[in-house]
Amino acid sequence: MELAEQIRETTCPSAPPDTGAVLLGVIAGKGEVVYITPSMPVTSSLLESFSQNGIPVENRLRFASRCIQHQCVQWSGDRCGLIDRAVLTAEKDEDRAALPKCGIRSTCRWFAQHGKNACAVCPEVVRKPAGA
Amino acid sequence: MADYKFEFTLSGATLSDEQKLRISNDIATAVTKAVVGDSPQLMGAPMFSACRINGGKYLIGAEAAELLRAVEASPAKASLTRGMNI
Repeated sequence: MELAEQIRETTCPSAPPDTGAVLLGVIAGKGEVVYITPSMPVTSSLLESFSQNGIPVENRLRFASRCIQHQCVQWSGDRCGLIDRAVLTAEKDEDRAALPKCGIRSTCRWFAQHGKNACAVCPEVVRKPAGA
Repeated sequence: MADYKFEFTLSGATLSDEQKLRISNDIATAVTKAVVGDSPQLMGAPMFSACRINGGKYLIGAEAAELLRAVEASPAKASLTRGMNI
């Protein structure tokens, strides 16, 4: 199935690495994500390969998948509450004119809600932060 | 902000789907290892360290501490929050 078909609606940029998800990027450091384009489909063998190489999947990798809206605990009203809070909380003062190449921006839920401000905060997100 | 593009073209043989999948997986693993290093450290995220992202309720630290105190003080509330994956 084409990626475009998988993400017919909006895409969550902090999804679990389940079937149907794609590898969005690699967390290179604090607040720094190396985005991979085109995003790679997640397979069990890919996850196994990461695991065998000692890569903490949900701590150092970012996955994207279809936004599940009401089925997600982050959903608030008619939007993603997580990115709303994150944009408010973050104190980013970066050059937002230069955005990285991202494989999902055209369908990204966070970008749809906050545009470039969401892109500025996106690298700060770690799905399973250390100690959480 | 720089972009880095790597392209590989294999020619001269017919690869099975299994071989293509393995090559793709190995490239992804190699890229990831190169970015995170051979012994990747776990990353914290100050803004989001109170709880899991997407796998649980998003709470800022103060709210999380308050909720935990409430849960510990009341077994009834604890049962209500079971499954929230805090």
